[in-house]
Amino acid sequence: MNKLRISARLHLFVIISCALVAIGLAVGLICHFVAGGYFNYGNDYKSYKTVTVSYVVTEYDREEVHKISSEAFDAAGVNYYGFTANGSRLGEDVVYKFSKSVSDESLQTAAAAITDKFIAGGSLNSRADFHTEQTVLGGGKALIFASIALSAAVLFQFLYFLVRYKLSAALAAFTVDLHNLALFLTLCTLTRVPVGSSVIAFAALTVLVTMAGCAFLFDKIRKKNKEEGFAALPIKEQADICARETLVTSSVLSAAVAVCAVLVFVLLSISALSVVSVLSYAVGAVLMSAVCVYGVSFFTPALYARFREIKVASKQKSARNADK
Amino acid sequence: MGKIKSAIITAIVLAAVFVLAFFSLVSFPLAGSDGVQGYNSFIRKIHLGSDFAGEASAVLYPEGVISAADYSLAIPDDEAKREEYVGKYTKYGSVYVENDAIIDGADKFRSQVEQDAAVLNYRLSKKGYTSYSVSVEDGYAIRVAVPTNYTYAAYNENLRYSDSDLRSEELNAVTQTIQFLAYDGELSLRNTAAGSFYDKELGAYMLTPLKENPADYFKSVKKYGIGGNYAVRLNLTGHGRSEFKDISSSVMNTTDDANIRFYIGDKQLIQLSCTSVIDSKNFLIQVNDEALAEEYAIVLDSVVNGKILHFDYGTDENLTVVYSTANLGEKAPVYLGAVLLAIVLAAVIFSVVRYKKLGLVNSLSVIIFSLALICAMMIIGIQLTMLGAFAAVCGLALLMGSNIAAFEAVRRETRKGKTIQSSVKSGYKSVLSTILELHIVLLVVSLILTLVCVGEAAACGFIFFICTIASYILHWFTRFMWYVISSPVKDKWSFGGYKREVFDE
Repeated sequence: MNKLRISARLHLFVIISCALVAIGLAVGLICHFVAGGYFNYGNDYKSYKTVTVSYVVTEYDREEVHKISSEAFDAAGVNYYGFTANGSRLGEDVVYKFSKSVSDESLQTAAAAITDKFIAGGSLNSRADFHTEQTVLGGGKALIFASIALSAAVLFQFLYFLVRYKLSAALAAFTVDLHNLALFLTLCTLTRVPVGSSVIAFAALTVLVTMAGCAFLFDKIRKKNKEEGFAALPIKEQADICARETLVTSSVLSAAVAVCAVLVFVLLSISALSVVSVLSYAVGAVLMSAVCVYGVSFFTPALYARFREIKVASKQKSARNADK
Repeated sequence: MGKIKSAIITAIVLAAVFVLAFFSLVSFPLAGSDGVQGYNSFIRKIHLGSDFAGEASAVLYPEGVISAADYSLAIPDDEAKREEYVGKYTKYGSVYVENDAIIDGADKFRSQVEQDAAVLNYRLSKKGYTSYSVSVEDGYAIRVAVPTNYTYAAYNENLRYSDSDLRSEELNAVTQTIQFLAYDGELSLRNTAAGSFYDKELGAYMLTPLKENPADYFKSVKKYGIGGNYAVRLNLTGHGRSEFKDISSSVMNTTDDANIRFYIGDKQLIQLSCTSVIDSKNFLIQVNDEALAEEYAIVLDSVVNGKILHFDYGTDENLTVVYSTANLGEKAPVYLGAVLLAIVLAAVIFSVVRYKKLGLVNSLSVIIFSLALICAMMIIGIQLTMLGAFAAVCGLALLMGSNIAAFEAVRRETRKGKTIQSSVKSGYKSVLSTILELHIVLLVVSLILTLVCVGEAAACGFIFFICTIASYILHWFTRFMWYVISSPVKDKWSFGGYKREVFDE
């Protein structure tokens, strides 16, 4: 760990990040044309199919309807990902939601089987219908506004760092924020994590954790610069020393935030606990944590050292020009 | 601080917390109502998003389209009539479409329904719901779903004091919203006594010349509210201003009908009583309540911006809004309450185990934070969604983090051999700027989220904004209560679970 030379590897980090973003863009574009979207939009935003079972409450209860419906879905080989119940003119509707990729024929077969079962049971008014729901991307607007808000937050962070530290630190933090957000969204595209409100939360946490991590690093550099001999070290070495000393703190912070976020999200959605929803939260949090550790502990010191070198070089150049 | 002073302040704070906790968490029967009527606690009055309290939805069928269930129910028993009835419709997926309705072709019909869905989506986006969805159902109908905005008291019908009034109020509000937002057709200004020309079919005078589109008279239409009074503000274009001057003066001079009636399609939306000539950039039309003002403004603004529905969805006569159970399961609000309680309890237990009596002081802050958040959400009427609950937990973590940072700074100071009073003073001083900066940064970020985002993310930002303010105030309240409660205590070291450092001379 003591021999970790981060600052000299900026080109390597840039190549890794650019390659990842390029792959993400390619995968996203392919998915846009063949899989219904650049991102895998969550249930809030995506189109779906339903089988609506309307039944007369004096003839059946919800449990019986569930049993009849489940048998029909099993026979048709389809699985629903959610259901809701609501009142209707007949009595009650139970709406089973299916992914858009489930075949129409299977759902039509299942709906017909349920209706047949009702008729066989003597209920002529109870029935099941298959529907397709092509969602207008209204929720997408929420994503757009969330992106604008995050951009504004990143800009605010730049101004804050400009006041608190120096221009080179503010520029490094600003670039790392954009880098981390781009990388997080790229990884969301690659892993096909359902993009919904939890991803908005994780994106906001990415910005906050990056900000905190950068603050740890720059505080350490400022503090160390007061120590004798440190200021005389080459810029890259200064950044490396501070990066090594803050690596554990930044990593623990990222991991702790991710673990807490997963725990809270899983607990909050415990009433609808399903492996898929837990997995999507867990994957989102792991991606956020990984991106923050990589961005803050590796990319930031390398970038900051480069910016400082440019600044020092330009100062020296202007001094030479003045001498001439 | 003396013992008596300390005891009095502590007693007052605890009594206030107890009273607040009682009204926030306990529901009880109202005296004199024989147990029929009851008081619902603040926590039961927090509005819940669709994750926890379900959504209200309606399927809008254009004229000539009916659902499979309606089709089946209306099949006549008489064989000749049945044949005629069956021949009148064509089945598309799970809907039946009258053959006369799709003269221009099914593709054009479907495309117009899709355009209408986009217009409805635009109109609903202006309502500021935490979540909503508009989808084209089976290609020929539009399904609209919005949060019910129920509180837990309204959501759970089995509660002893279930708020059935709010339940019907909220459903009526959603019904009214969908009814108005689904108004179809173009804008026309009418009067029964004067105008440019008389339309025999409509039985009314048109106030604008035949060649002109009155939508061009307006730049935008907004809701306007001041001091509990609400109105629709119509901003005129230059041309609209001069035209309106003529229209208002001609209407004002009639004795039978001094109103400019705003029609959307063939439905009157709103009317302006003319008592003077309108010659300004904008004018206001007063309406009864905020929701109406907002809905009128949304529909008019959408129409003047060219976003018009093609079909009549018959929402005035035939609109059924149904309520469906929560997306996260029927018992989602109960689980939510249990999880949040568990998180607060975990914070309290951690504080007490790590910081002994000082942990109790911290726990008091945590409890006040939770109660303050319940009260704020109830009073302001923010909808609680899963993201909002996550923001509240983050706020609690911020308070805990700030206090723990201060307690640990004090511990570091004690290790330098200082007295406890001196350690507290210098410990708080050492973290003062960090904690202040952290809160300011988070306050700005949450404000940005609130102002820029829409829907759930904005609500979440606002909750975190409240949490950040509460966290900073309670951070200093903890410091104050530490001083108050520990004043009469002799062993101030053990009060905070600290150890006195002994240095060899």
